[in-house]
Amino acid sequence: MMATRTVGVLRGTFVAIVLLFILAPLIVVVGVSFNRSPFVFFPPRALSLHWYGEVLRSSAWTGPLATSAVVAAIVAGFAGLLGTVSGLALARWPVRGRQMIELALLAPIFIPGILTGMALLFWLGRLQLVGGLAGLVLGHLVITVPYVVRTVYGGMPGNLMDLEAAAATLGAGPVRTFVRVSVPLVLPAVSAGTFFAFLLSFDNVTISLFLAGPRAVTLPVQIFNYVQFSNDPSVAAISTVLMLATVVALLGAERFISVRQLVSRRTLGGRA
Amino acid sequence: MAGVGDDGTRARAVLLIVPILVVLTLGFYAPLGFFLALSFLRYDPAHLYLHQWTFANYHVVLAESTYRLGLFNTLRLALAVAACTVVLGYGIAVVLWRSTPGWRNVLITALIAPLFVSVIIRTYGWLIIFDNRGPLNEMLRWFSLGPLHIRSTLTAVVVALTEVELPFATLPIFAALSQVDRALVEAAATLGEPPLRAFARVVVPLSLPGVVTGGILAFSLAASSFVEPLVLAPPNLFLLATLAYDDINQVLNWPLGAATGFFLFAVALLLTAVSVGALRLTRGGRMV
Repeated sequence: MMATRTVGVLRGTFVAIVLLFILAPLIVVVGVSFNRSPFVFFPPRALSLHWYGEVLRSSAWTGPLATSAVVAAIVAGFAGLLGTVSGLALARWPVRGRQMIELALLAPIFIPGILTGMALLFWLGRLQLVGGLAGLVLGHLVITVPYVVRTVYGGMPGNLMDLEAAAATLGAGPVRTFVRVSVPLVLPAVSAGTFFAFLLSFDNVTISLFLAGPRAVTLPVQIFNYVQFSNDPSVAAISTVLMLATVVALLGAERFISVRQLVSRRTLGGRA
Repeated sequence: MAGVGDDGTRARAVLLIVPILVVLTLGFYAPLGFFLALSFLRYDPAHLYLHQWTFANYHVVLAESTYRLGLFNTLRLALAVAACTVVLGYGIAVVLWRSTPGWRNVLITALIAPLFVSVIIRTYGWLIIFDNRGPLNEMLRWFSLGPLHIRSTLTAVVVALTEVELPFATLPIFAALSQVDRALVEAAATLGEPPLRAFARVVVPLSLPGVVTGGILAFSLAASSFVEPLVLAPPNLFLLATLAYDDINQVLNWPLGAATGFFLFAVALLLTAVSVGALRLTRGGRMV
């Protein structure tokens, strides 16, 4: 009896320490954002929303915020479309060779981001596409689309092909079958994948650090630049805004998709 | 009629796969292919590279002291992160495994929620925490301890990376534990094994594949990370990933940066192959 209680207390303490460890960097950033002074104090010595006003008025932050949103939206759109089409193709692929094709589509997940980023920068340099939106979009698309493929392919009903065949037997043409049967059946997985692609693109630093240029700086890259060279709470304020937006988006999305399932798929699969 | 294996179906499948293959070729396979070729071309300060095949770049990576030190530090860092995440992750996985479904959901959510926050924000958080006048040292001063100069050390990078990679190590271990048949644990207890011994002899061996998967993931993610080191490591701490980044961005020796990048990837692949092989051997030997 005594032993069980001791184990319970130990377990509780362990869980509390782990949670504190995981959340500490986030708590600190939120805390610092409420400073009044231009110095980074935690806990803040005087509370104020000063740095929020500063950040939301400054084009140094609103510009990259807009860039990130635009890039993520375009990437999510393309990744959703491409991922859906490819997921449907995978389901139809003859068993022979399916694994090869799957590996070919998922490969970007398994290559370190730094390698993909450097290679893309070199390639885009040869194509004269460095430093613009196009390069960023291409880079983000390549690293996010495998996740959509996997979500769509994994979230597809097992009898999709039978249902399509049934529709065909009942006289629906290929286009009608696709629009009225296949698409509605994979839609939940598609929206989950698309949402995930948006978040991945929006948060990305690894690829963006190579591909961002004077004409296209994303928010995470701007944060990186600030963290390296200056030290006032504006970074904390914009980061908190970002976290708040993510939480709101996740809560909204939770009603339509299982965020948890999404993430376990991502974490079990590999890299960010 | 359209069925699986039907000629029409196959043709449609091929047609549907073409767009993504075009995109991946243009944005992934071709860039990586050219980059690999670049790593075998001779560096030239004026033209970036010359069309002369050479192993010189890999020779620099393998022989020059900076890069050797980089390899040594990278292995040190990645092993430390893998060890920390596996130990912590194993504890968390066991807690998850033994908790009620309700608690399990809460804990998993807490574990994965930070994944939705950009790595750069979390790294910034650690930068604040480790500052000489940051909350950690304030707290230590409260107890008349410290100050600890952690900012700009390898330790800072290890801590931050452990936090970032923790879910990647925990979830595979939890997945392996979930597959352990509880009847086995009960059988061991019935046969008179004390609980801890039963755990060590029955559960731990069965969860090893999860430990290896999680450890490899954490290792390779840590080895190729460069954002956390750029922010938290001292400038004189050479790592393969940051050396590659500097070759590209500062030194502008592209062929050398390419060779460093591919060497880094090869190291991670080699370690993966060795651990998977070792796991197979031990499992084969013990007939688990």
